[in-house]
Amino acid sequence: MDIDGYKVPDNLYYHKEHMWARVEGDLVVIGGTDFMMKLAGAVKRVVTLEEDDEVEAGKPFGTISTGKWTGKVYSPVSGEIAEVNEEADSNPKLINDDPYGKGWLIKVKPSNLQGDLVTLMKANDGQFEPWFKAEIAKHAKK
Amino acid sequence: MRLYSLGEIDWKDTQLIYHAMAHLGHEGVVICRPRGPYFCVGFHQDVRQELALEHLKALGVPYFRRETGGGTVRLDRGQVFYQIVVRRDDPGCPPNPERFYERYLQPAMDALVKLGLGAIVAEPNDILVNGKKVSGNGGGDMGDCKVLVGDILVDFDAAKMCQGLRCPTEAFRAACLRNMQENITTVDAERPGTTVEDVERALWTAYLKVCSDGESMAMPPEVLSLAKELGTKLLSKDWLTFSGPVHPWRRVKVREGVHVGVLSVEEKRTVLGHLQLEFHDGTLGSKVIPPDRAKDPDRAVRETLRVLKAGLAGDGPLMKDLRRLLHEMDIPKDRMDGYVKDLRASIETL
Repeated sequence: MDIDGYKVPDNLYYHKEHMWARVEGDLVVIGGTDFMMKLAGAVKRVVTLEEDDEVEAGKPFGTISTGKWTGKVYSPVSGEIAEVNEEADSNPKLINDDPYGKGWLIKVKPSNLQGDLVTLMKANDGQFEPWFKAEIAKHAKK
Repeated sequence: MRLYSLGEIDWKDTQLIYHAMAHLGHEGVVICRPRGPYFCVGFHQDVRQELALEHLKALGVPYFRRETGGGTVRLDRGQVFYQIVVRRDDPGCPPNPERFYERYLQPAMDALVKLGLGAIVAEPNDILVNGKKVSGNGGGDMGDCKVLVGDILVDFDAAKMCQGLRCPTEAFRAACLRNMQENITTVDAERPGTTVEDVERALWTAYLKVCSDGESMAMPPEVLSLAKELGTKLLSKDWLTFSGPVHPWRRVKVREGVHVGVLSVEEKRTVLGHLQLEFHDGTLGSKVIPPDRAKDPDRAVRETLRVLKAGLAGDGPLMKDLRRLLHEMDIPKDRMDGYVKDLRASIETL
């Protein structure tokens, strides 16, 4: 799915801080959305918590830096970090180039998956598009 | 939001106070300047890759790693700082970095205009006068706040700045210096006789307009107390020597749209030479330079070119490193292939 030029794949869950989550077996893959990356600009560094560290839904698990700003990235689910994307750490360009693929940030072993998923949005939910368009308008240049 | 005009203070406090405000969620604008020189790197920067640490140690010049973004800067008494801390849940807090810069750089712009300088913003976060940078700014999320930190250059010593940078070659250092001299200006150069006090007053007047709670002469004790506490962490070796990935390139941003980069070209783990790049408002220039201590510089350049031509013909490690360096130099994704193609063609003719 594409909304006003931003890619929002149907198979992902979305968090209001413009993070996505994808359930893969018993893990949840997490990254930043196309919208977030286009808004941020060229990502220069990403630093996250490490493997085995706990993350909490709605709380920061790391930072990304674009040269002009250092911003936080938020976890859509609670659990324990199972894997950190080392490739994105050494080559942050991937986060801009392929935010839903090679530019993922962490994989989490969830501790409250069903409870967290119901708080997230899907692109084909009725309320997603109006919310997303309001976000685009909020962040747009005046 | 309150305005705190602190005048000249200890260099450490010019950093620790706004960090403390942000971590306490205490909104405000701080105007201050440091009593002496120091270098300051951004949150994600590695001081060992950014700074000539031995040189700084010999001079007794300290360094600091802040929690906000932006690049390496040399700060000194000739610069007046403005630091803005706004809670994320403040209804008036702009939603993203660009809007944040737009809102809170306007008073700095107004101050420069009041001083008789025709200032414009080079989006997102530089302020230019006559096409040259007169103010650098960085920002980030800190605690529950968004923070912008910037300065106005009343006086700036580009040579001292470049001496403090880690440079793979002296040619790179010279290129950094030349680009800084060509692309950075000062209030004193534009309006001779303007003092740091004049700039402080102009900033005070301009930022007071966005501080609905007026001015306060004294920082709250809880901020000062936390600043002292934070000093233990933010001046510790562990914090300062945050280590990032080591790359075979180095890049220095001079102003928005102007970068100097260098890519080391290796064969069998030996540096043969360097590809030096200068990006200036859309134009990318390149040259091949030998290592500083090459016994036969001409031969080193020939060998470097040989490896470069072979390496850039395909999509191997050298090409990947080149693309990462160009990404660091803010070359947009949709124009990357064009620059790579032109660069490859120009190297083929050498």
